[in-house]
Amino acid sequence: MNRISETIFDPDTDRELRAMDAAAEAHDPVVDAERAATTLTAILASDPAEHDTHATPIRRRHPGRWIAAAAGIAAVTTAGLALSTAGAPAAYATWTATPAQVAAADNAVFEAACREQNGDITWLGDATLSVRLAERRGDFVAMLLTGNGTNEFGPTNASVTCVGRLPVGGTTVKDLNSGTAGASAAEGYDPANDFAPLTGGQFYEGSMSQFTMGANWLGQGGEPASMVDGQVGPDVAKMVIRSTIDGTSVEASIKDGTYAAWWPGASFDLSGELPPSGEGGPAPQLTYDLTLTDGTVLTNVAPTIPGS
Amino acid sequence: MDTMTSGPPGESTRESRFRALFTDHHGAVLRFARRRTSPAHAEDIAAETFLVAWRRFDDVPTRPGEALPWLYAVARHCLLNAQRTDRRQEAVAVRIGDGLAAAGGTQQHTDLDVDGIARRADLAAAWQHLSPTEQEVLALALWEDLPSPQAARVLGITATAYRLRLSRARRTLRRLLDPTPPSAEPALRVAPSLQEQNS
Repeated sequence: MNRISETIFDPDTDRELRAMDAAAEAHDPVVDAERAATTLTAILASDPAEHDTHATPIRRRHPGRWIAAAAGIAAVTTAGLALSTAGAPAAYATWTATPAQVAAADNAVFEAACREQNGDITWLGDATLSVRLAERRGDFVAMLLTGNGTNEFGPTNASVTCVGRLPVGGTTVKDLNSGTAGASAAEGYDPANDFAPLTGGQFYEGSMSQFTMGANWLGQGGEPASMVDGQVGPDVAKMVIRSTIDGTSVEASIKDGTYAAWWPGASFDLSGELPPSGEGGPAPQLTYDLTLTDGTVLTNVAPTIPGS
Repeated sequence: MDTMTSGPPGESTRESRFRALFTDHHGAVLRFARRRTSPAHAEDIAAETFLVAWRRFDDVPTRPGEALPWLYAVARHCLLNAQRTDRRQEAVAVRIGDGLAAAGGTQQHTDLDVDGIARRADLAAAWQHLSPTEQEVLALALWEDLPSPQAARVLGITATAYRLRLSRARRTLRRLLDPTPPSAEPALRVAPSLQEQNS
């Protein structure tokens, strides 16, 4: 199409600016043509009807509404809690079901990468995010950042979760996957009305996510992984989360009333037709076992429902 | 002349139409991405854009001149998603080059006179002080060379809103290049400090 370009400033300045095109610097016609041909072949080989759900993290917030139907009575036992890595694929060979602490230097490297990938969360309003919890499982580090503030709609809270590969002493985070979750409330809302203090082995589920690590840009390959967080009462010393989809069990990290864990494997049943957006989403397939500070073990504990 | 046909196409027709779309516009979409992210990431953004187009081929506009802005808009969404921030309040920053590639590469950059080099240095420095929103509207006009209605479509705003943003961005860049009141001096001139350095 031949079109006379509109003059933006004046002819000289326009000519100078148009010459300063950053795209021209990386242009190599031969290489570009080869890569374009490869890209076209890959796209045409893909299923046009396929939706890239594998590449799209599934995230939930305040799941108490839909977990209510599955709520049961916790059974009290004195048995130990067994951990299983039945669902862990080879890509996560170093992953461990029990968490370890993150060294300060690794923590700093990982936090910087996590913050860089997420940028400014504008809807968080006037609050800033701070590291709530970090944990190491083999070569992988996971981190939870949270913040509360006020935006133009009222009180708001947000959390950022990051999982990535950072061997001990590493300087670069690879396979970094992250996501944000949050909620805003009407002006004057007091969370204390719904989130009563937790006691007696209670916990609130927070955000949940299922994502794929190591997939290519077509969403192909990679392995599913899951991350959850939430709040526990002060008498909870240990939490073991089990995915009923593949049997993976993982001991969560607990710090200052917050728990978090991630594991290789799924947490949502995506085999059926998903409900429309905004109508609850897929149900998590998780069970929780708790060990209290007095040694009591509670199995299949149902999460506490906010406002209940 | 647009050769796209109407009616339910067969797979081979769909593929051939997609091939034509790809051939016509992949280079432009790749350049669009390269202006806004690293060269390595730009390849992924362009590929992701055409993957979306392949999966949503029925949504790709068939009227002449409308497919490319649609692809740009998809690419921009891909870039925003990569940033993982609130797209309602976000824009994609646009990089500016030094102009040497367009001048024939570094071996011939001496063809530019001292004033020319200084002028480009001023322009590059001023560009960095623009907000991403200002960079976006200017880039769509300068480098994507889109008329206002199509540029507005890329940003998902009205043509009027786009022209308003373009006017503001133009004014900001002029002010950065020449801090004196606009009525007193011509629109553009080389900053005194750089004139001295290069004289």
